Amino acid sequence: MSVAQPERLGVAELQRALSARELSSVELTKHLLARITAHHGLGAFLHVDGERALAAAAQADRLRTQGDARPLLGVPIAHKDVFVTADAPTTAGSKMLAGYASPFDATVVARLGAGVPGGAPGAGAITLGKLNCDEFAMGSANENSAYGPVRNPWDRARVPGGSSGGSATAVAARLVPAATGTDTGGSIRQPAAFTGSTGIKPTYGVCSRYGIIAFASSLDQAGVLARSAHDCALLLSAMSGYDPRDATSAERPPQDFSSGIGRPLAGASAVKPLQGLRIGLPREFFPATLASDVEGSVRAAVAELVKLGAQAVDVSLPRTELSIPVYYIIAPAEASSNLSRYDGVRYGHRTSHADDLLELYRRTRAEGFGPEVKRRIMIGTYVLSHGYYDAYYLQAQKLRRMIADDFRRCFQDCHLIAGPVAPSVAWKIGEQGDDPVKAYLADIFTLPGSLAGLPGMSVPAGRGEHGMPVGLQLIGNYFDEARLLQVAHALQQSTDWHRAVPPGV
Amino acid sequence: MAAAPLVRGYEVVIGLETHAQLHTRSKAFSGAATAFGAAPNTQASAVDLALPGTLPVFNRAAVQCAICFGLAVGARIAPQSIFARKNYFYPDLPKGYQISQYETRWCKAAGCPSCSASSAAASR
Repeated sequence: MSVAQPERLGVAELQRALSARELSSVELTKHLLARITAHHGLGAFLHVDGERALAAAAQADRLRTQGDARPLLGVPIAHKDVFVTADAPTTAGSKMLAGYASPFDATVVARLGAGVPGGAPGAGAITLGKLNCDEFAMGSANENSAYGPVRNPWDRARVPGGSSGGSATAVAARLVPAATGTDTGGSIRQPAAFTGSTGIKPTYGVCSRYGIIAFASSLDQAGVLARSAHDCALLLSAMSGYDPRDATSAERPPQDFSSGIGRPLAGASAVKPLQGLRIGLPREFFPATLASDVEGSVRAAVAELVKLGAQAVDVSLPRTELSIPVYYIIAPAEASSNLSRYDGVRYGHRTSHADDLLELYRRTRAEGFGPEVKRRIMIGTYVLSHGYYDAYYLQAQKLRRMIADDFRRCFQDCHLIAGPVAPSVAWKIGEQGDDPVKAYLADIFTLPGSLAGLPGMSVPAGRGEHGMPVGLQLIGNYFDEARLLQVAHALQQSTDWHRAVPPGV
Repeated sequence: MAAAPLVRGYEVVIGLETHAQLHTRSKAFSGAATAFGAAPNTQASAVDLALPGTLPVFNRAAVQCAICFGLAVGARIAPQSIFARKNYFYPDLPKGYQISQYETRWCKAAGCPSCSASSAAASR
């Protein structure tokens, strides 16, 4: 292997090294598998299939010699365990689905890998395994997995964020160059911020939800966690696009999100690549309760964008605080319905003893689901029940529309919105105790964009208290991912935060 | 015949719930076939079994049938229709909910042209 520390290379660098034959996919895969074993204590992976990964790597190396030049050929990645995979079990971090074997791959998994059966060939990436996450993607700390917590590589006593905590830790600890994640209320952006990774949640409808274990269907969206905006763009280009199997998938032509990377914005110069860009800073995203270390890093990152030619403008998202109760009505409502299929009848956990049907349901679900999932099913069932529907669910839907309208107004004054991802850096494992509301409140800055269905990113923006990473959130208008990535890349050309490696990694 | 005292002063209104199998090649929400008389378990797809990650996609031919029926009975055709979930646990309900129509259904306020002259007139 002529490349030292290949785990430090990102996706774009690996593409170059692999095609220049400086490194084979087998060498790289072996190296990363060894690292995954060595860093087992981080709890990032739920399932690793080294043999299968090495066979796929050997196949990729063979194909390359035959002239195959697919964009991600031989690049090892891993998937959050809410994407169903035919070659590996899918648990969604739940005991309910222990050992569940899906007969098919999620569309996103297929597009990144071997391709959808009968469809276009995939991008050729290799799957190393499945990544830990909060149970059914419900959580902001990855403390709700039935298979144990994930640790933050920057401080192993701290959480990596959630629910895509395994993805974030695997990327930050250099176990994989990139990983898939899903974001319902911040589950890509917040763990990316907590681990110093770069994450993107595209516009609702950009990536197919077919094969993603549903949490809240009107909010769930697949995305990427990687070590740079450029790498996010490379994966997003491969995994996005219309899918006839998802009726909410956007009918848009395939897009190469990396084509604008490294180019100045239209009409701007190389020296001031962001000239003409108006960045909105919602005053509600900088409340007095925002931790000063987070605020300092975020403002410094915005200042950097201004140095690159952007203009910062004051905007308002007056219903930012309301997004918390709105989200925590809508998401549990959808979850309570989506999770009713886990009844012990056809697949998944089934109680060992039940005298009648009702008992089968009760015991199966009481044994199979963890406390946070049960809590949300109960909240969701309550707000949807007859007599409460109008007071809770319907009201929440109306407010959701008003929150989206607030963004629409903002985007008349600016091209994209910037602010913090989370009100503080990553907290200690167990620190939030038994109070779920504390964690819910910490979702305040990611929920508004989720409710509006807008694309959002977390870009490393510095380090705060205890040396923990801070993320800058960028929210774009609908289907404006290319510009978001272009701006994030420009920032990463003039800052080094995304290159920082956690200690002991 | 004189009405019994109990129902005097009331108007009898009878609602009918009628089910019809549509002439579509595949099911309402999945691509699985609907051939009559096929062997058991040969027409069940991952979507029908509600396997994790599956999503329903509504059958275009089914809505065409519904609209044709609505036009035939003089119904108002909804320009926009919404599906709702009717949640309950039952072993033959793999998803734990029916996908049904609640507030805005495809066809509304139909007459029945062959039943009475007045409703036929109303439907024109």
